[in-house]
Amino acid sequence: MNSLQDGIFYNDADRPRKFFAILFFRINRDKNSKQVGEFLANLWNMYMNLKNGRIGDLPDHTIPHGDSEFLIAYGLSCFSIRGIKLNAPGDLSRIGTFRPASPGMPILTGSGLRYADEVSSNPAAEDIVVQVTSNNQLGVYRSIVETWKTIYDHSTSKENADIVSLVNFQTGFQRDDFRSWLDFHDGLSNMKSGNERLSVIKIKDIVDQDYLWAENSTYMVYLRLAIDLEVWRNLTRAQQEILVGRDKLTGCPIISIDKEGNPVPKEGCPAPGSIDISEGVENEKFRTSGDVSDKRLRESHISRAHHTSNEFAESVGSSRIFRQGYEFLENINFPPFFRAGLNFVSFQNSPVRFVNILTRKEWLGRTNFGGNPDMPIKGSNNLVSVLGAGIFFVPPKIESELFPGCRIFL
Amino acid sequence: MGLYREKNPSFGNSFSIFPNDRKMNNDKFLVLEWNAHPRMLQTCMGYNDARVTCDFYSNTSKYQVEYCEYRIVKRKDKDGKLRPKRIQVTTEFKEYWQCLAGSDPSRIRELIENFSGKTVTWASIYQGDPMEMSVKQRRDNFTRLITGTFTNGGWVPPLSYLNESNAICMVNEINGLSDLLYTLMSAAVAYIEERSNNRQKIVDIKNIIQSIKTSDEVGSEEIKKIHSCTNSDPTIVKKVYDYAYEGNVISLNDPPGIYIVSFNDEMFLVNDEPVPKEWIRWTRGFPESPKYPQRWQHLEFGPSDDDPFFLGDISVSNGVTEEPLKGGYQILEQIEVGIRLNHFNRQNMDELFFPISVKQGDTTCNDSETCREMKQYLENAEKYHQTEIKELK
Repeated sequence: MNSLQDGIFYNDADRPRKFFAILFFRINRDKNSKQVGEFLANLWNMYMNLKNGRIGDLPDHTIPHGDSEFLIAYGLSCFSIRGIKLNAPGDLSRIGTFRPASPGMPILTGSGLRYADEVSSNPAAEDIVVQVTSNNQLGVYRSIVETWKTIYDHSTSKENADIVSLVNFQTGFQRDDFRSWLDFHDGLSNMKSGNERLSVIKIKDIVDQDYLWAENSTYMVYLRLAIDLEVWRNLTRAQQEILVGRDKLTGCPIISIDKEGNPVPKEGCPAPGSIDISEGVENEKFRTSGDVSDKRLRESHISRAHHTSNEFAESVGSSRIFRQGYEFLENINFPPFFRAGLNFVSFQNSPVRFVNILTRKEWLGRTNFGGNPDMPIKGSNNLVSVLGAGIFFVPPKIESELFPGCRIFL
Repeated sequence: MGLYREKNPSFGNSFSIFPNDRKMNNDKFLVLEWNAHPRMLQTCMGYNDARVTCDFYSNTSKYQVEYCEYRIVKRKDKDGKLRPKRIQVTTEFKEYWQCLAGSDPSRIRELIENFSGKTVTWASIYQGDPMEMSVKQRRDNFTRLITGTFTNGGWVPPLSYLNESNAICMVNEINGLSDLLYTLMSAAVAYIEERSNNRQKIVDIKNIIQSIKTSDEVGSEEIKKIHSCTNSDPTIVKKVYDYAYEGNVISLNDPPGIYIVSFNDEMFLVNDEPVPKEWIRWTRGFPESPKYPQRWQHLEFGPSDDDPFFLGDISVSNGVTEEPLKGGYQILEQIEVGIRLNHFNRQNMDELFFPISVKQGDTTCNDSETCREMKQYLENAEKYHQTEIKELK
């Protein structure tokens, strides 16, 4: 049986896990695909045991599994190792990476999203990634440690030494208030759970003869985004609301701006009896930007990021993507001594969808977050910066295979 | 359309052609937009083969079915070799040009000469002197030569080279005004599942389209010509149906038409710099204003005749890497086109729900007869026009 890998929570019935980690692996170029494949089989077996509450060092003893889910995906560079069995799938070979990291430079031509000033190499541009999601923090942390153990134990012989290295990992968590660090509502999708989301996620109509087996595959885009809260704090509430396109308290879409420059939220929103749009099905219709004529509101973040003018999700041209992000807060060694941000994760059947969002002028092209890129509201063109960015092919889960994507290596 | 409504009163009750019919506010509109590059071609063949096929057959608009067409304008280089010089894109309906041809030949000639950059004879537009023709004769001759027409034998493409070598108006048989109107009419109905007690909405767009196309209740074959494997029709049907179900009346915003909503010109580079602004020439429409986005119907992209550059000197970025600009397909990829619709909300929907038998829509677009035909066309081109295909690849 062939199905989408675990860890993509497109059905409302299956809630996203609360904690997240993404692990980045680099393949030793002196090794061949058979060696890599055998290691990955070992690694995947460890993850499947973790999923069932078992670890190698505690045989016959069950540990809490935290409902952990594991997903493995492959970057474009993976397909250049010696002896690899398949070429990169079509869209990955066409748009398989972001631009090389350079401080302050755009991650894509035409994008307003730029690498952070301290980024001179892209920590997410690696060969293989594993996404771990779990309902407790120990679940994700344990998977990182068990990964190291697996690599360590696999390297006991000279032949198996250093086949694959864990070079980086990032962690994050889900918020339970449907807001982001900007204090505005975020992540409320109007895409219908189930088939509509699946039509965006799942690769179909496969033309490449080498990938006819890959029904139920997808592409993952990962960005680690830092948010400059000082820039945000220097904006007035009205400026923030026009930039976002929502009322700060209720999340209601802003549909006009009055003569005094005050944002006017949609009448009747939120639904009677609710305090904001995150509550109940009656508020579903308020989760998109609505059809606004005013150019300033067409430039807001939610209007740019989701065009209600094209809701045929199945078409790549709609640029719909399925987002599944996790916030982070990390310690840094300069003021304010913390950094807030988002592990942006999206799944889509073509990276072209995501590239379109970031590069088209009517979408987020040239803008950092929203607004007019030629006349940005003070500082808002530096609100978000990129700490790492990657695009990965997510093969399907096939029951007979040792691990997803096995036939790429073995 | 009026005759159709007499026979089928529920149809078109949520649609009127002009906002004034229903006293709608022309300034309150919604925009529907979609990608201009042909969805089915790419679904059937993958990006590279789709690009080569579409560019090779671009002079006949054979696969350009998203209400947006382009032509490749060629000129000789200094070695005498004919090469792509620039691209012209149009979203104008042939029906408009046919009307104009009947009433104002001088204006027609002026426009065509502007597009082609050359003097044009009456014979090449009207097969004779239009001043000696009736309005109907002018229109008929112009249609035969420039826009193409339907006859009892089917679609007859235009006989003149003018609309092959310049994008005067759309000629593909499904890019017509009547096609758009019928799509809008068929979608602007508050369909409900016929066996539901609670006015159940049809949720899946593929099922909406399949239900309309196979419905005995709908009746008319024209209404059923919705193309489910394009970018345009499903986008239009989904939005308009949603609005009709919620009790809105829809009309085309005045002036009606398909417009180029956006063009991502910054992805095009020459010598690693964005192309000069004078290489992007907009006509036939309205520029962007502080309150409203642009509405153009004609784009000419690329160097003019007195500029030494050619199309091949331009590269197009996919965000990460650049590839040479070979033809118009890569332009279409960076274009979104669309329509503007006015709407107002009726309060009483009781009489307007239309029960329909819901059918499951097909989810695949790459195993049909049309796909096989597309691949055959490319094979034929590769066999008989090897040099040209090699240059496109």
